[in-house]
Amino acid sequence: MIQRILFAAIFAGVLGGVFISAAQHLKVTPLILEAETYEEMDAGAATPEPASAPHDISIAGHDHTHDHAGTTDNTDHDHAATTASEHHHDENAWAPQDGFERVSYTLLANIVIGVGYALLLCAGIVLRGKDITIRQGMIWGMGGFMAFSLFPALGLPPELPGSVAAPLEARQIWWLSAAIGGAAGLALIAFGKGWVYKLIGLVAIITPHIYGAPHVEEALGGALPAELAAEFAIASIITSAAFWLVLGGLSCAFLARRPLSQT
Amino acid sequence: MTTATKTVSLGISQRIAAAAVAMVLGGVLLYGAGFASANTLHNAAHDGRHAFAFPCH
Repeated sequence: MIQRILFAAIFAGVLGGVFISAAQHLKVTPLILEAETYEEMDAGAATPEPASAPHDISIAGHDHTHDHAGTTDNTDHDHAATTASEHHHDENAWAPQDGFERVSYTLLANIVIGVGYALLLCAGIVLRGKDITIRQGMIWGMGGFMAFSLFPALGLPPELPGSVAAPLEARQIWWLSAAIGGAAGLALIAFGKGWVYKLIGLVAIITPHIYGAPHVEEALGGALPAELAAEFAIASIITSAAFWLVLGGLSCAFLARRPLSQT
Repeated sequence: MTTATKTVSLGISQRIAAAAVAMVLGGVLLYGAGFASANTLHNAAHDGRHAFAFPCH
């Protein structure tokens, strides 16, 4: 059975990864590239100025606490609220060159993510143990979309580079709790026998949202226009929905060619 | 039940074991591509992370 899952997940994941790589070129990638120009503007605004210049800069999200005691050490910025700069402005770190190299690594990443999600999807279908049609596989895909895109996006909308956000680790933990709670909750609601299971499922889905996603006080900050952020959130969610529909159908097509009760 | 007609059939424990292996493997792949904070990994997977709306930088 594990070979069957691996086979199905690799084929479905590779095709799904290629699909989303093509789909994201329509809207998602151009918006990321556009946002990066604003991110660079932000970075420019945050570069240390000469210590002699009188300044009282307060860019939303950046709390500049300059040291005027005669040193030129202006790196005392409070970046606790904005982790945007942490990864991106490490000039020494390797990053793919824009153009072909960057597109290739994005394709590779999308394929790895696609195979990862396909493995989870196939695991769920095998655990359920009922033979399914491709159409039902697409419904499984929609379940994956709700658990791994829609529910997390309720608390943490898809973000562009350069947006001001809470510390990364807190967001990752919340994202995981919303996704895992969502997946388990959907399964309990769909397959649980009796209202008690369905109720537990509902609680699993909404608990992370009642607890609330980590956010910073001034959610709007930096040079990034709000319109661009909204456009990106919608584009990302629609692209994900299409990806999950394709992944669900393909996973099922490769996995369920023989009855699941056979090896 | 049609089990009598099948030559090879799978028990629930085998299905659970296979699903568990698949979930762990899937989790490892998703962690590497979507969550790991190593700079190189982050930069390589950057656009993919944003497309899938993983929390990123």
